[in-house]
Amino acid sequence: MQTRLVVVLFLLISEATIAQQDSLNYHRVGISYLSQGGFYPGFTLNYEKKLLSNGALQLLVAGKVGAYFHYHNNSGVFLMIQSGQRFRLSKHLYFEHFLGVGFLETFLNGGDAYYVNASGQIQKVSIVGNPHFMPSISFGLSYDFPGKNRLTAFVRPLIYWAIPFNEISLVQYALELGTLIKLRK
Amino acid sequence: MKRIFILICFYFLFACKDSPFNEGDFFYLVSKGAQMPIVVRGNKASGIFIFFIHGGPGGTSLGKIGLPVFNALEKNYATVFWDQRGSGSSQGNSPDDLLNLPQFVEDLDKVVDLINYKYNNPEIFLFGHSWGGCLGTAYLVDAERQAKIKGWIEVDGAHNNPLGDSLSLQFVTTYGAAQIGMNQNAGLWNYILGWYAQYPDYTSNQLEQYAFLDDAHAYIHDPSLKRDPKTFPEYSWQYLFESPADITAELSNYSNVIRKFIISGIDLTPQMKNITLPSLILWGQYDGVIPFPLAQQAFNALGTIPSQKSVVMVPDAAHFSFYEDPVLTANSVTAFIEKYR
Repeated sequence: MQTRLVVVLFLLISEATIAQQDSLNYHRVGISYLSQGGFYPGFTLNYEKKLLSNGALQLLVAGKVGAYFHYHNNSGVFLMIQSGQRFRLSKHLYFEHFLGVGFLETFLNGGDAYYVNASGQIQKVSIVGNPHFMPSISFGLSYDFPGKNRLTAFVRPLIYWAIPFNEISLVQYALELGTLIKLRK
Repeated sequence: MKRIFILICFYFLFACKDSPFNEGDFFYLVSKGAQMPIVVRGNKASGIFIFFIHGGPGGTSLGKIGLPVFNALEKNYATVFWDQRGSGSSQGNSPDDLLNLPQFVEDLDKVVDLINYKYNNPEIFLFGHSWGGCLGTAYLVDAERQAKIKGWIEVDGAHNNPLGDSLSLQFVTTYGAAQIGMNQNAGLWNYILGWYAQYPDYTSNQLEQYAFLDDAHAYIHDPSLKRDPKTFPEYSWQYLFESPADITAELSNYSNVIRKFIISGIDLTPQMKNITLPSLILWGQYDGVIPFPLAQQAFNALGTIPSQKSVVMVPDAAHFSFYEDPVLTANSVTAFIEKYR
């Protein structure tokens, strides 16, 4: 059992060493259109750094800030960090997946909010925000355009949770369509 | 190509606002952790507001926007749609321990006060469906609250849940026995009848039975009634993707509230004598969720003088009678309002 463990560790370290030989100074930034919960528009600003890479696999750490607007429901702004993997499917095409944690603040959208006290007196209340813990799962396809300053286009469905929401975990979904550009080789 | 791209971008950015679900005034009531949306539509200048109280508990009112019955009523009157605490597209973080009847009554009272404040004290007619019939009844049994309301319209309402549950059980088991007799879906109905036999003290808290009610056409009597966007606006593309509703929140809220807010023990019959408002009781003839005998029971229990209360049976309709016969419902409501405005 111990021997097997050592062999596995050795293989992993070797793989990591080989992977690190492939351009580690890899930063990408980008922007995406975020379609939240259907057709509710939003955007994200993205950053990705390659941690390990070989011809077939990349390990990534990523961060994003974003916002969306669901008219007459809520607007959200969020900050998220993710770890992910990209698997090469063909020369330029990748399958990728990410796990993330983040913070989401939602605000009531599209109408005034009122508070009514016990004696029936009414007052407008300022913008009401709701903080949420925001774990997420994302997966999708990306395509590296050939060329010197390589541009990447991606499509990534995103599933995330808004916790708490009426004392439950609210599952939400979104679709990201975006581009990334490599900063340095 | 460029033009198409710009048009697509424009659609994504602004289509949501153009949805018919976004017509009308839109605002929120904030109360004890809950942020509840309110929509006011229709003929506000009439000074007459029909206040729809949705079912569930945990259901939604936003999905009823655009129903033929309300489209018809909105020509002459304003309509009010309010998603209750923790229900529908309500947001915030409403604590579970506030999922109770007194709190929902308090919330309803606040919305009524807010409508009076924003629209200069219109004449309000409450229109409560299913669980909304229970909530509306509980609201009106207090004289001070009742004074704010012009008339009461109970539609297939849950004012007496123990009786409703026992009659519903009878409805489904009778229907099932008939199906077995005709050798139609006998396997399914044997299973369903076996389930009810297994739970002799059945109550509507046992959520499995909702599927059985659907099998017995307890909600919609006419199985050929297509669930198309015209009859069921909540099945439309626009409702799913371009309305104020958040569908995932609706489903999560409903699943949460229906499990935690137990209403099967609520019977408001003894207090209904305190309600002396003009009242219209509308009921589907084949309602299998809260069967028709409850209509007569409500009529008898209300304190309203006999000349100011009436029962209208909606023929060939079940629990969602106002979906199945919007014309009869709208005409009955209009006649009632015109008589007591």
